[in-house]
Amino acid sequence: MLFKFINLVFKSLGRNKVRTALTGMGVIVLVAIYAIVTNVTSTVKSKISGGDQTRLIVSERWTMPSQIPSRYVSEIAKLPGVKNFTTWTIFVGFLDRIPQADRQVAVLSVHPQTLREMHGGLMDLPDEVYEEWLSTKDAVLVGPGMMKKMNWHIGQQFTVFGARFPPVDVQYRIIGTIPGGEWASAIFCRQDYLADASDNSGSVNAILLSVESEERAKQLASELSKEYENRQPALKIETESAGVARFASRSTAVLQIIDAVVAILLIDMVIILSNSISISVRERRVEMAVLKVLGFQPLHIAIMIIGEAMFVGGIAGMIGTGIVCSISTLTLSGAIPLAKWNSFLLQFPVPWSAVLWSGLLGAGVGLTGSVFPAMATRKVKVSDVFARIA
Amino acid sequence: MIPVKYNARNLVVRWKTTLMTASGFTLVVAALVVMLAFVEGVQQVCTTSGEPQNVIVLAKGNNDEVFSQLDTRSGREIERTKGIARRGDGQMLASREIFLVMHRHLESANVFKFLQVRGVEPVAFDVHTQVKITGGRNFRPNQSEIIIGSGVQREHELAIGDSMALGRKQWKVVGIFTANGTAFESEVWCDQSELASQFRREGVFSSMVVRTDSPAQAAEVVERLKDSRSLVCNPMTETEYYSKQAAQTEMITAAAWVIAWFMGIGAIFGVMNTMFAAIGQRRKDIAVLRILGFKPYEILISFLLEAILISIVGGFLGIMIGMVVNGFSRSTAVGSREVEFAFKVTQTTITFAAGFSISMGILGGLLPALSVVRVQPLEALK
Repeated sequence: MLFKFINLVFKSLGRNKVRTALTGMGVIVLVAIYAIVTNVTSTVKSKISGGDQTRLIVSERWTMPSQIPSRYVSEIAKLPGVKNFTTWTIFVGFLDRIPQADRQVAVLSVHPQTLREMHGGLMDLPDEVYEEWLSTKDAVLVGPGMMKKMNWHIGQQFTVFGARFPPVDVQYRIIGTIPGGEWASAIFCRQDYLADASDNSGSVNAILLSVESEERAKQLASELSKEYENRQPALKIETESAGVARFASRSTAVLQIIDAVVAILLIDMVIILSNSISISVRERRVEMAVLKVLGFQPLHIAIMIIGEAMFVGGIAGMIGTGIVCSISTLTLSGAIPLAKWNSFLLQFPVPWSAVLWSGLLGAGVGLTGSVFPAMATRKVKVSDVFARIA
Repeated sequence: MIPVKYNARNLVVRWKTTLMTASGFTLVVAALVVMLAFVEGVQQVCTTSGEPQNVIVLAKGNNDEVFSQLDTRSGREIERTKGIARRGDGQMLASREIFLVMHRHLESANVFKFLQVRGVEPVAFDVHTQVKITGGRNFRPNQSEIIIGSGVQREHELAIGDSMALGRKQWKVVGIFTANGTAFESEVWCDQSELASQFRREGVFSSMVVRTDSPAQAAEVVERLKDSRSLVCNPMTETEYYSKQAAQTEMITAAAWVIAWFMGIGAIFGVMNTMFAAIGQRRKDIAVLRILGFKPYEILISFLLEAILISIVGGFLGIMIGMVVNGFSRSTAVGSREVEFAFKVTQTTITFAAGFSISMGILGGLLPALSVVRVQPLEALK
């Protein structure tokens, strides 16, 4: 019975192939952009709400860019409860002596020994690359997106002409690429090398701490805040998620607009499916009258209509997100270069698990969009339909 | 030609389908208008922030005041440049400024918020002529007094008489200023030397802004500074500086158009569905029109017009809905600074949105309309 019913749904969809294809394509496109925009907002939100509470960011209390004296680093790193640490210093500059906006780079200098442990996603860095990183002072590890953008290759040397006062030029050598993901456009260098090359071993921008437990992290944040409150410079200690939230709050307006767009996309999908199903129901009144004569209850016909919409929505949703995942993977692996159109929307990887969720979303949209048109089939009167034909 | 009334009446007869298809357009166009109004609002703040006769001088390689540092020797060199205007009393209109982005703890929400603080000398008010104190009075040097822009007043819930901690000191708000809706309204101004001593910036400053008599003079000063052999710096007119900050919104503009086009393509498939169904239902009408002597291309245009009519109705409603955000104030990050802006629905935005909507109508209606040509009158009438 169920098999026959499913068969009927497929046959109905195949009867008007153009309509099924157009509806499906409409949903594919809308689910694709839905997946892209929700990925941006959900990644930011997950970093805020789901951030690791055992990781603390230490930065200068008052001003930005933060400048923390290096002597603070050794004091803080050896505090009880601190499992691991790294320092962050961002060195911004240009690849040519004459500055050009598209040749600007930001090199993140870090504590070399804890690169893998302190940066999510870098645990997969091959051992031989990591060994070379530890033994080569001017080494840099570059994300695949940046490698592609700058047309670099492993072994290449390049100079960054610093955009700072006093001016300083630093030469680097690429020893490997890092896995894609959120570090796709990053350049990592060693803090000790930057300090030597720029003749500035006096300060770092921030310290990132990994603490043994959430409880200890809270304690430590409170202790450090008090201890460094009256020192010059004073320090600010916050959890990683709070730090992300503070930066994300500067873009609240953009995130709210994206949320509104997401809502509009969902409504648009429901409208397209609902419209298509309504037209289909109107055109198939004779078929429905025949089904009723054959003994189908109005509920059966309604379920058949809803089933058609859910099937189209579900499949279209999976195809749409599948395409997006492929584009995202290609972008973050560097195969598709970062440009204006994709640098904002595809800055975070779209996970393949989204394909499944989008299938469910598409089916849900199909259900929502087809309920009212399906209910309208109850109004189909057999006598009226056949009287008209006669 | 087939009268437009024929198409309009058909749309009215199938009003439910028409309404649903048009609402697809409405939502897409409304979203586009809101996104473009955001970009326009931010860009307007940035592009109007500078004065064309002002020249801002930053350290070499820097395009942002936050990261720029000039020393006093550079300051003296800049002041020696020919073309800088003077006040009536002979004071040179050259303002050394320290620009800091700070973290202020907002007690009411228990969060840190960014706050832009500019340390200035009295001459700054003659250089930045847009800045006008509208409430209270100006700050006095070395008295830990500040004046706040109207944007800061709203965002940071501050008023005259309030105190706030910046560094180890408590600073008292003594005045509020406006600056013609420019980025300066999102700043706090205070005494430059006091700010320098508080934040270890003695002997250095972020930028130097010099005023000239005209935009042409400003361009000449920029050239002179670029050609200078004794000074390595990054000079540009103030308008150019703020326009460069606005360039960062290009990425968001591109994203807005990508989103809009994706949504538009979805709506195009929707209108195609509607039009194919309309043609399917009216094959007999088409046959009669052909027998009456109407040419296939006339019928094609007639059906295309129907799709365009739907897009016009949907687009119009979308623009109306999108215009609701016009003038709505928010703040957002532009580079290292946070600016207060108002959503701005301009004529260009409306034209773009209308054009976008009609293009969607044409693209969605063209394929179904072309299928009209294939209808055989006698077969259709059977």
